[in-house]
Amino acid sequence: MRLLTHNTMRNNSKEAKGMGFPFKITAAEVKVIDNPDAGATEERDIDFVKRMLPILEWTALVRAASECGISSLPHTLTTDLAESRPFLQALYHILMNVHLIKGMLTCPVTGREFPVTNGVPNMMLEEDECERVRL
Amino acid sequence: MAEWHPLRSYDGENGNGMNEDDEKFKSWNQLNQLAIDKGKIMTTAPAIMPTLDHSSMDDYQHVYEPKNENHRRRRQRQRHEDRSSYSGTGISVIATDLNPFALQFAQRTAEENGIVGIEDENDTNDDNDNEKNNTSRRRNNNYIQKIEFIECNLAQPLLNRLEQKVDIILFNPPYVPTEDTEIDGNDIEISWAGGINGRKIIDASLQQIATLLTKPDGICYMITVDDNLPHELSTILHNDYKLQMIPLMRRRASNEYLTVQKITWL
Repeated sequence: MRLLTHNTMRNNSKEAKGMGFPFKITAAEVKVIDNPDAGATEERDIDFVKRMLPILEWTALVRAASECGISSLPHTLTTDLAESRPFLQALYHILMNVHLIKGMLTCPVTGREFPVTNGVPNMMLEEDECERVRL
Repeated sequence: MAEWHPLRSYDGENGNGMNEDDEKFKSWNQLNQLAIDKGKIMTTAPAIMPTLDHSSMDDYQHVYEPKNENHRRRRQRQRHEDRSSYSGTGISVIATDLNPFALQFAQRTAEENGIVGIEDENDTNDDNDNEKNNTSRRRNNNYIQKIEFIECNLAQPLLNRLEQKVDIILFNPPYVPTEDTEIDGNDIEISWAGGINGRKIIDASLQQIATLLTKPDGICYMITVDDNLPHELSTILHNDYKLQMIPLMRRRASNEYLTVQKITWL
């Protein structure tokens, strides 16, 4: 599970009342992949990150990164940084190349735990946890 | 070419029949015929088949076996699965399924075909030929190396963080009409059992589709069979969600017509 994906997920159980974000990460295994083609895809990657910026919850990303052992992100995202190419490239790396392989996601409201195995989070809710039966 | 909606297309012609069921059917059948014609044209350009060399009979205990050439690609990666794309030139895809076996299978298929979530290019144990093939496949698929897998119900955990943030949704629902009780099974039947009229999961997905799709350009492609009463579905989407649904492509597959429906904002 990438940090970008972590930033898009919420505990939508009835009990969490729409506040189940962001998940606290307890990391058992993290894999960081270096992209050997980084130079060739630089333009595209930067463009991608720029488009992602409005979607990102920055504070949640900073915390999630640090829970995966990456403490290099600044606490606030200034407009200067959002224009900086080296910064955007580094951000791309953190969003896309850091994978939580094994661990636990904990809802900040209810404490409900969702396991991550082989890089795949199991977000299944039991029927009685759902607002209405969504199936 | 102008987009047209079944509820709109005949409106100008006879001026009355918005609620005339027979008119609606007639119009829907015309759209279906167009979709069939489109399907015939497209046979000259078949989809690129993924390699399934890694699969074994054991996999098909828990995962619906890809059968039909035309639909193989879709079926093997999507059970009741959304694939949602992050917007942007770098394409990122989220694949979801509630069947963990289907996700594992899709993950392996993605790796075999160079569409990879977690990939370490420096670490291959293949012999040289394979390595070369894999590398070229990876290069070819370079633009979609960002697939992610989530085990969940439809796109449930992505609500509402990705509200109006998803450009494309591909949805191959379990559309086979069954008893409602069958959809709560624990094995292969959940890959096809759709409850009454095969609509149980489809109906549950509409709200999520309407929540996730970007405005105004988001597109959802969904497979239906005629048992799902697609014309009725189109009316629900139109009235409740301001979405239009038209048959895009339609082909006979053994004993049923499979239709790819295209859902867009009105």
